[in-house]
Amino acid sequence: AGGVEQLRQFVKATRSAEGEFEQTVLAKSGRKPQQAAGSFAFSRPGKFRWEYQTPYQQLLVGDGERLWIWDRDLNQVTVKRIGDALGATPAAILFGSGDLEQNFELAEGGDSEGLAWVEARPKQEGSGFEAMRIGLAGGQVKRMEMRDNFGQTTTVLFPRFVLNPPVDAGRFRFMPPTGADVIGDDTTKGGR
Amino acid sequence: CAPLSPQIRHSGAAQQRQQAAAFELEGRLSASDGERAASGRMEWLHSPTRDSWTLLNPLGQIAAQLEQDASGAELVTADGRRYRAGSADSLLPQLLGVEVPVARLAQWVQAAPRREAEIRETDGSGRPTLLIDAGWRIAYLEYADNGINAAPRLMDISRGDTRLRLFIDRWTPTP
Repeated sequence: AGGVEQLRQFVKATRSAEGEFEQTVLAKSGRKPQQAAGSFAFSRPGKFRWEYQTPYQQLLVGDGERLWIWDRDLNQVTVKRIGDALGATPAAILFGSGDLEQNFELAEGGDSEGLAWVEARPKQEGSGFEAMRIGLAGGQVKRMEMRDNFGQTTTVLFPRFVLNPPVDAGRFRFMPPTGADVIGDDTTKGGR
Repeated sequence: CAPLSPQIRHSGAAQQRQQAAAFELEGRLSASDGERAASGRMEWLHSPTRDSWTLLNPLGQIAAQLEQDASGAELVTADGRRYRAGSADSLLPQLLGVEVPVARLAQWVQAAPRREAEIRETDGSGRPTLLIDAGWRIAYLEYADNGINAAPRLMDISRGDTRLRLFIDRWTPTP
């Protein structure tokens, strides 16, 4: 099946997932590429865990309502309402609400590097990125490439991607570690 | 991280620290004005005639870029909107979420304040651990290493409800 069909199947079939990611950010200007890697898990819609292990430890948790960002070195937690923050972002492809084509215009991106590609353009103006390509094989997302309005390209590979594993809900709740400074535009600071 | 030498609180012997006129800085920050909070990664190229900031969101996308030179300052945000102003000071709130005096920031990130600033506390090696400058409070929580001219690594900048915490991953003076 073509990329678009595989992506539609993926979104329909995937209730949850877990695995590892490798992210490379290439800036238009000569800045050296930024490599980062870590693990992820998600449970649609809106619950996810995106944990950077390298080059530093940073954890993003979406508990369905709020986005928690914990940075170990800063020893600080930032919390904000998810609201439509996921809306038309690359993250929405993986763990947004089911209706992808509400936020994205999907088009066939052809086959290359052993993947069937989908071109996804955000329907909303001002979504912060220009275009995204998603590479699938065997009905699974293998690679995502996003180009933002500054010509910077972020590529995310998924060396491990387990579909619909048993995921315990506790993974998508976040309790700020003791002693951590919590700042945010949300009055209720405790996790649920 | 390199343990700080014993914390001797004295405001005397603040060692004179050199101040680089130009540098490259990469770090992570979180900023809050008491209501809204923002966090992300920052890249900052500073020289006497030009400043350029790139702010990236936690997932690595560029959220905004701010450039300043003699002719003024321009901020471009991820959704493509452009803002111009006489200087970066008035645009910084849109980049960092808080208002921080740019020229001072270039000194604070080096813990090499201007003479009028008050070094209230220093550590065992005479490096500032607490600085008061024009109503701003700058606490240096960590330095990159124990050398006298080590760059700060973790710092808190605050005034009233405005708070900025910066972890400097890389700081390099440039010629």
